[in-house]
Amino acid sequence: MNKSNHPEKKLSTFKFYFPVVILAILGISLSVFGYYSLSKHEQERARVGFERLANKLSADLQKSIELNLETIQSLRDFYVSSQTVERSEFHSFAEGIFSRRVGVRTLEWVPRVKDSELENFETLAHREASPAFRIQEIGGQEKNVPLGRRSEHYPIYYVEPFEKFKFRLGDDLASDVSRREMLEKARDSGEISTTQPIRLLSETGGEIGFLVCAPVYVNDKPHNTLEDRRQNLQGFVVGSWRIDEFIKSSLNVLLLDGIDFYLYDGPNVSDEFLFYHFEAINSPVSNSPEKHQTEIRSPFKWITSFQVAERPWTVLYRPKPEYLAERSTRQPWAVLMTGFIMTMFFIFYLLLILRRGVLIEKIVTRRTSELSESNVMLQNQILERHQAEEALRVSDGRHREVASNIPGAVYQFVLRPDGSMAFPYMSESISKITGIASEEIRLDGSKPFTRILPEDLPLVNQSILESAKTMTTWLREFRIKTMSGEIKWLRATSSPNALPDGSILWNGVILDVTDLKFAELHLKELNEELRQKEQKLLKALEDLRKTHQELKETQAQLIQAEKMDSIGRLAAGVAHEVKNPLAIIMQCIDYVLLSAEIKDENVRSVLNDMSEAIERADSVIVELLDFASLSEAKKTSENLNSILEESLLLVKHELDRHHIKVVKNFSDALPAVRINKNRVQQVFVNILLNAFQATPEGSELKVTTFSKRLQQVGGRVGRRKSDIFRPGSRVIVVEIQDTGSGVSEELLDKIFEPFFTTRRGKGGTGLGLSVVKSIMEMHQGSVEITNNAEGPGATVILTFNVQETEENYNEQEKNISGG
Amino acid sequence: MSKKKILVVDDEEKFCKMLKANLEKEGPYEVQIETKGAQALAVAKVFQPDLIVMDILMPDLGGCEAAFQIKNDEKLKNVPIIFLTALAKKKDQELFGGIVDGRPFIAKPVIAKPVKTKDLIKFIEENLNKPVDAAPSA
Repeated sequence: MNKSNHPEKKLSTFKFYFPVVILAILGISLSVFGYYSLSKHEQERARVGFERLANKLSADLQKSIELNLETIQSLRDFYVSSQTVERSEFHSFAEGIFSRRVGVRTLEWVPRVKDSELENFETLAHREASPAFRIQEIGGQEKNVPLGRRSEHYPIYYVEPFEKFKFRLGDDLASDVSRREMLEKARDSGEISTTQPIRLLSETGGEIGFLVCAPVYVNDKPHNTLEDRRQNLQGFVVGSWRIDEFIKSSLNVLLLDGIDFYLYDGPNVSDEFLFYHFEAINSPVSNSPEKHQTEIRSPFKWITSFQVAERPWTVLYRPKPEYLAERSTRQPWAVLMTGFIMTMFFIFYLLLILRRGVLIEKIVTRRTSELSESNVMLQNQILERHQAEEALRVSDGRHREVASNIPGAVYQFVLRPDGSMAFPYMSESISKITGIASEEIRLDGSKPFTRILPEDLPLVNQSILESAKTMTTWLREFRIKTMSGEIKWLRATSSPNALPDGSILWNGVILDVTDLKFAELHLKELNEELRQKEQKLLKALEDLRKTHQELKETQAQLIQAEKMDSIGRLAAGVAHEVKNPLAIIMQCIDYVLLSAEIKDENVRSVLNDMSEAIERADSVIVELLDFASLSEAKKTSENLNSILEESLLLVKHELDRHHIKVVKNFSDALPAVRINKNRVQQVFVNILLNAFQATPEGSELKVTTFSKRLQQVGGRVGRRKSDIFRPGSRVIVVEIQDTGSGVSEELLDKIFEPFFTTRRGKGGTGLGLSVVKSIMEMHQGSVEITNNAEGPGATVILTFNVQETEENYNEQEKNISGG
Repeated sequence: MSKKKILVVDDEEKFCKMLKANLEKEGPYEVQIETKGAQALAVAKVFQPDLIVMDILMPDLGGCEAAFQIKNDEKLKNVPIIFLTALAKKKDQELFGGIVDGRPFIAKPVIAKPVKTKDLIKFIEENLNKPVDAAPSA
């Protein structure tokens, strides 16, 4: 396995280091590039600064040269303006120039002395200058070199500063080639001329420098042509300069810090013609070609040329490394170093990550191998499971088919100990019922509850908790609002199972019973309607019965009324027709009684009997009429005690006649009753008269009144329509008890029938008690007659109903409690 | 003392005669009888009675109507009238007494037949001495 992995390992090593290398290259390149561009920029900046400086220095130098040349020019002008210049005049003029410190080393006056005039000149000089004066070869004094033979000599005649350079007096400038060339050039051109760099003569040795001369021609003589100029030349004004002093006076050498300064005598930069070299501040002047050569390799330089009295000079500025070093910063290096460090850091970090990756890869490889092993096991298991799943799928498909196609939804509902709820399973058919996808319900167990109508929700929740508590089957009907806004009735039922974690799982089914419910509701409504109709019918039946009863009663009353009306009409007619004859008879009897003197007492007695008979007949008629017109009475609120008193007064005559003693036992607390006073009086009178007739003379008659509340049902007390008295109603009872013979049992039933009398032919009409009964019935009262339990005689019991208005009732209660 | 004039109007002629005899015998009365209700006013105008005893149920003209005519006569309006009738019921009296302007006219007092002469005289005396009722308005 290792062998086979070998190339792979190489590849992975390459893979491992490739990004590192790339990163290193990239980092270094970037660093170098940064360094390079920053350096470049700095160099450019140094170059610009350098050029500006060089330019300024060149300008200064040029200006200084012009100023120095002007001194020669001014000295010449001095000669031109004066015919002769005395030594003292020259001295004063030179003093003035030296005081300006322009860098001039010497100022000389060099006259032209023709060889022919040599001796004369020296003679004059001995007189005027010094006896030791003589014209000589330059530098030839010490060596005793004899003066060469030349057509013309140019001896130094005046020299300033005199003390320092008096040894130069008499030096023939024509003896030196460079000097002679300069002088001849100036003579021929009439212009200022200079020498090439030459070694200047001095006491201490020679210094490098240059001479400048200007020709002075004899005044009033022409010098326009070459010939004229050669002919009329008087002499030369000559100045000498030490080059180093000249440069130092011309330039601010402090500015040359770190810059090499080269001056060439000529139009080009050429080592041959190097005139002056200023290396750096305080550096010694050198014109060593080697050194010059080594330092010529600078990145940049500045070269400029200008004319010095028609002789071209060239200046070269070259910055030294120190100059550049001073103007460069460490930034490029810093950038470079930072770049390197960053690169190193990133490489390190990358290595770390890669190392980690390799580690992980190793772990992955190990795990992979483990996994592949278990994979094989799993494959086997999967195979087994596939088979099981296939079986399950068939079964599940069947279940799903059942769950999806039954008219409702199958579900599992879990209530956890923390109170949270979930639907682990909800068949897809729920969406048909509620409009909520089963997936949504499985994700959010509270969702179905949000669709339950708020008025049903508490009952649903309560019943679930109750089912959880009692572990009994949950069954509930409730309403929901579907997603489409429709109200549906659902019936859900499920059986609870306790799970090991304390949760309770219900397996159940939800049915859409909306149609059923509506049918049920409709049925209920119909039932209710039916019930109401039935009740209405029952009520109607009851009403009908009542009406029928009333009708029957009314009919009876009508028949009675009709009967009475007939009797009444009959009675009225009969009464009129009987009463008139009676009236006539009565008048006749009166007439007889009044007209004749009746001696026979029997006749008078007969007439009186007749009169009584008429009165009785009249009373029969009146009673008959009364009987016939019972229903016409008007009722007023009366006290029965006082009516009884009045009635007793009415029958007082009869009482006294029969010597009957009346024992009154009246209750003081009788409530008022609404009655027809005359009729009731008639009742009392009738009964009293009846009683007198039954009662033996000298006996007692007991009259009792009291009020009571009826308690028990029985007799005439009851709740039927035909019952006169109701239990609990208040009544007044009037009892009239006689001590007569009583009433035989067989007559007790007949005694109140009309025209029944035991005194037929003795003045009894048979209407008295019948009228009493009718009047009592008219007042919703009753009359009874019973034989006394103790002793002889009978008792008539009259019972009056008290109409209990509130006012009446209060009065009664007060009276009763008071009495 | 002059006799009081009493006019008895009743369709029972026999009764009238007996009553006239009894009244004239028993009291100081001058009694005139009239058996037709319709004639009552005319007779009264001539007779100028102090009191009139009037039957109610009469074949030609009811006592009430006759009484009303008399009460509307300027000269007779202050004459007291006693009704003496065999009709015991007020309803009958109203029914048979005649309708005056849509309603029965019953002048009180009313005495029922049969009556004893003594009782009647007592009654007549009471009414004679009584200040007379004002004339009924029409």
